[in-house]
Amino acid sequence: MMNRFEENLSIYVVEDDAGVLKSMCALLGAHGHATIPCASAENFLRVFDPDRKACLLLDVRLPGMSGTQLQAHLNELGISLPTVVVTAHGDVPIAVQSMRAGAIDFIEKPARAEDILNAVNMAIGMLFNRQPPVISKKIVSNRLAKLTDREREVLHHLLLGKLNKEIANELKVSQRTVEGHRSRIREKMHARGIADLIRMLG
Amino acid sequence: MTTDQVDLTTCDREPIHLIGAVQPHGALIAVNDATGIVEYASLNTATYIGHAPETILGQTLAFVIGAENAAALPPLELTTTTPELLQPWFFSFDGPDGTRIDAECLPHRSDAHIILEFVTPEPKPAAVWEDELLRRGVITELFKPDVLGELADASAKIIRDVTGFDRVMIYRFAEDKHGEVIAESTNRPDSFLGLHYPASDIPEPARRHFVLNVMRTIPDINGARSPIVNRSGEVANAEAAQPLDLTFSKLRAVAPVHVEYLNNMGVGASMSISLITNNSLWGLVACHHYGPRLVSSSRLRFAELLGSTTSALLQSIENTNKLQKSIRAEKTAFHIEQQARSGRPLGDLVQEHARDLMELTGTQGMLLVLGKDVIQSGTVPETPLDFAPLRAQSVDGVATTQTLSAVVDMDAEQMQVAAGAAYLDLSEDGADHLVLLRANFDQTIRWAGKPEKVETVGKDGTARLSPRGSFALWREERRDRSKPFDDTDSDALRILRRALFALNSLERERLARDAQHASEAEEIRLRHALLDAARASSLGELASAIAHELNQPLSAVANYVSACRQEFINAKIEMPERAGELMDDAIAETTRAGDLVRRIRDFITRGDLNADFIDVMTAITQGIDLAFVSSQLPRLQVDISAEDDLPQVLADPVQIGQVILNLVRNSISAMRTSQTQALTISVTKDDRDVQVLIQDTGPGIPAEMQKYIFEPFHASTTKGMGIGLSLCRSIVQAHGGSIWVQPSTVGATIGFTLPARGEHDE
Repeated sequence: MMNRFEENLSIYVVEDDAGVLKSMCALLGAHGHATIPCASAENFLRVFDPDRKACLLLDVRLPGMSGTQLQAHLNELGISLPTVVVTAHGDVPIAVQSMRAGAIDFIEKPARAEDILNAVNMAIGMLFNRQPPVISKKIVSNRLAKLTDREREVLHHLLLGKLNKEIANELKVSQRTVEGHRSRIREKMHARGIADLIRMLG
Repeated sequence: MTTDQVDLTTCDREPIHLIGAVQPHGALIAVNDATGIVEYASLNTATYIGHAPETILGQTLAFVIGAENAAALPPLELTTTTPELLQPWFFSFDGPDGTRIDAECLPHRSDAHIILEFVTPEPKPAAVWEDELLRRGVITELFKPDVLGELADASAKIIRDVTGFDRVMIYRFAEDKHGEVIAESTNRPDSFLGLHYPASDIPEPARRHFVLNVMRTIPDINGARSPIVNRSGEVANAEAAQPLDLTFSKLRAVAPVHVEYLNNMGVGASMSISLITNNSLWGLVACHHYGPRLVSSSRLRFAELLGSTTSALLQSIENTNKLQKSIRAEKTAFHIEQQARSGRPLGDLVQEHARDLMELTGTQGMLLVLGKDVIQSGTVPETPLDFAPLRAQSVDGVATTQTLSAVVDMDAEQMQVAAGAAYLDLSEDGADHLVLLRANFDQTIRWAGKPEKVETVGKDGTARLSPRGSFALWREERRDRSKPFDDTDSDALRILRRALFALNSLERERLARDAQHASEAEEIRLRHALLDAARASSLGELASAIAHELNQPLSAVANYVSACRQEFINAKIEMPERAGELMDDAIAETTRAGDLVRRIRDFITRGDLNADFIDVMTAITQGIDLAFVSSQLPRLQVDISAEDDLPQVLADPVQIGQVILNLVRNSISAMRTSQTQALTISVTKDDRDVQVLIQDTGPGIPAEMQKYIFEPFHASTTKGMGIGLSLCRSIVQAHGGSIWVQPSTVGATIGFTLPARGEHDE
C-alpha cells in the first residue's frame, strides 16, 4: 500500500524456517509489498536478479551459507542491496557485525509487525535515496556528555558487541555494576536498545 | 405366629420307617429269606393277591404265588443300599378260588426279610413309552437348557404333563437345609415360586428317606391305612417286639404329622421325587394334587426316570456353573496380576475391579485395608467394624460367615449392610485384608410369589401350617443373616485370596526395599544436585535451542495475525472492533511468550539480567495478577501491604514477576483444601534491601523438607518438575538477593530480598 507507486520493487525474504518465511511474506504482502521467498542464502543467489529494484530481509542464522557470509559475498560482488538483518534476540555481536557490513537495521525475533514494516520501509527509502532518520549529531553529543567516564567506557565495549560478563571482567567490576551502567546508558541516550545506539554512533 | 401348634422338629425323633402300616393302594407281605415262610402281611392282602393275611401268614411263599414264581425270586438282585428305579416284577398265579391273578410286584430286601409289595397292575404297562410326542418333548425340553432355572422349569412342566398333578414344584435345599421353590408348574392361580421354607419343614427322618427312596407317592392322603401284622396277629410297628423295617417300602403309610401338613394346604395327593447329586439331597420335585390322584405305575416309572435325568443334568449344570465361576475368578485374578505387573498399586487395581469382585462373590460391599489405608466400594457400614474376631476363624487366610453379628459386635445399621462377610487375609500379620460384605438376606431375596395368598387359620380356629406361614417363619429365622457362602463362593474366594495375597506380598517387599534404599536415594539426590553446576553449560545450550525453536513459530503466529488484520483492511471488510482487539491480544501474547523465552534463555546461558531500576511493587503486582489467572480459590483473601517510600531495585521486572508468580502459585496450590485461604504479601525495606514476605494458610513446609525445597528437581508439590523454587532461588541470587523459608506458625512463609538502589548506584 505504502509503495503502490513502486510496482517493480521486490523484497527478497531469506529465511530457513518455512513457517516464518511464509508468514513474513504474508505480512509484507498484506502491506502491498511484492516478496520473493528464499529458503536459504544459496537459493537467494540463484533467484537474485541484479536488474530488479529490491531490498533484502535477511535471517542471519541459516543453514549452509550464513546471513553474514551472504552480506560479505554481496559486498565482494559490489552489489549494494538495502538490507535488514533478522537475528535471534541478544545476538549483539552479530547484530553489530551486520550493521558494520552495511545492514541498515536489525530486528529481533519475534518482532512486532510494526518493527518489521518500519525496517522494511526504511530499506525501501534507501532505494529512493532517502536516508534513515538521523538524530542530529548535536543531540547525540549532548546525550553523550551526560555519561560518566565509566559509562562511556561500557558503551564503547557494548558497541564492540561484547557481553556483560566480558565487560565486567575487563573493567574488573561485578556484572551487576555493568548492568547498572547499561541501564543508565539507555536512559541517558534515549535508546531502546543496542540497535539504536549503533545507529546513533555507528 | 402361625406355627406354634405344629412343631415339626418333634418328628425328628419319630421312627417313620417303623410305622407298621401301608397305604391302601397296595398290599405287603414279608417273607423270611432263609425259611421262605411269610412272616408279615398287611390286612388288605385279599384285595391284591386273593389271600387274606391269616391264610398266608406262616405259609411258604410258594403256597401264595406258586412254586414256579417263588423259585424265580431268589435270582433277582434285591439290593437295599442305593436308591434305584422302580423295578416291577410282573407275574401271574392261581388264586385260592382258582382264578388267575395278574400281579405287579415291587420286591426288596429288608434285613432278614424279602418284602413283596403288590399294586394293581396296569393293563398296558409300557403305554407311556409309546408316546412319541411326549418322548420328543422330553428330549428337546430337558436337554436344551443350560441354565439351572430353565432346566428346573422344563422339568417341572414335563413332570406335570406326565403325572397330571395340579402343581409341580422344584425345591432346592441350601447348605443350611432350608428350601427354596426354584421352579413351579401349576394350573392353580396361586404360586409358591420363590418362597423359602425353614429346614424344619422337612424333618431329618424324612430327609433320610428322601435320600434312600427316590420316589414317594401318596395317592390319597386320607385313605385308610392298612396295618401290617405278624403271625401272632400283632401290628408290626415301633411298639412291637419285632417291628418290620419299611425304610424301602413304596407303600409305607403316611406319618400323621405329614397328613396334617398336607391337609392344611388342602392337598389330597402328593408325590415327591428326590433330586440327588453327589450322593446328597440337592432338592426335591414335590407334586401336589388337590384331591386324590393315583398315577399309573408306568407313569410313575417315567416320572422317576425324569427325576433321575434331571438330577444328572442339574449336577452337570451345577458343576459347570461352579467351574465357570472358578474360571471367572481365575480370570479376574489374572487380569489384576497382569496390571500389577506394569507397576500399578494393588489398592488401585482392587478398587478398579471392585464391581467384578463383588459380583463374583455375590457381595454388595467391599473394604480393602492396606495398613492404614482403607478403600471402600459398594455398600459398607458407616461406622467401621473390627474384623479381627472373624479373622481369628480363618482357615488358610479365608473366613466366611452368614451371621457376622454373632462374631463381631455391631449395631442395627451395620447389621443391614454387613449381615454376612468373607474375610481374606492379604498379609501374614493381618494388617492387610479384603473384606467382602453381604447385605441382610431380606434385602437380597427374590420375592416371586403372590404374597397375598396366606392361609393361616383353619375353619376350626386352629393355627395351621401353610407354605406362607412357613415362609414367614423362615424370614424370622433369616433375620440378621445374609445368604450363606456356599462351596462355589468359597472356591472363588480362595482363588482370589491366593492371587491378591501373592501380589500384596510382592508389593510389600518392594515397599520395604524402597524404604531400605531411601538413604541411598538421598545420597544420589545430593549428588545430582551437585552435578547441576556441571549441567549448567549443557542446560544453557538446551535453553538456547529451545528458545530458538519456540521463537520461530511465535514469530510466524505474530506475522500471520498481523497479515490477517491487514488483509481485512485491504479487502475493505469492516472488522468487528472486538475481533481487532482479540488479534491485538494474540499478538501481545506472542510478544510476551517471546519475551519470557528470551529472558529465561539469557538468564540460563549467561546469567544476564536485563536489569533496570524499577519499582518493585509493579513487578510484584504483575506476578500476582498472572498467578490469579489460573487460580481456582474463590474464597481466597489477598492482603498486600507495602512500606511507604520503598526504594527502587535494580532488577529485571519480568524475572521478578516470575519469582512472584512461582511463589504465589505454590501458595495457592497449597491452600486448595485449607479452611482459611489467605495470602499475605508484605514488602518492607531496611537500609540495604527490599524484603518481600509471602505467607499462606496451607499445611506449611515440613521441617525435613525446608532445606531441600530450593534445590532443583525436588518435587515438593505434586505438579511440575520441581524446578520452580530452584529457579526462584537462582533469579534472586543473580539479583544479589537471598531467599529462605521463614519460620511461621501458620502455613508457609517464604521471604526474599533484593538490594535496594543505594547512593553508590547514582
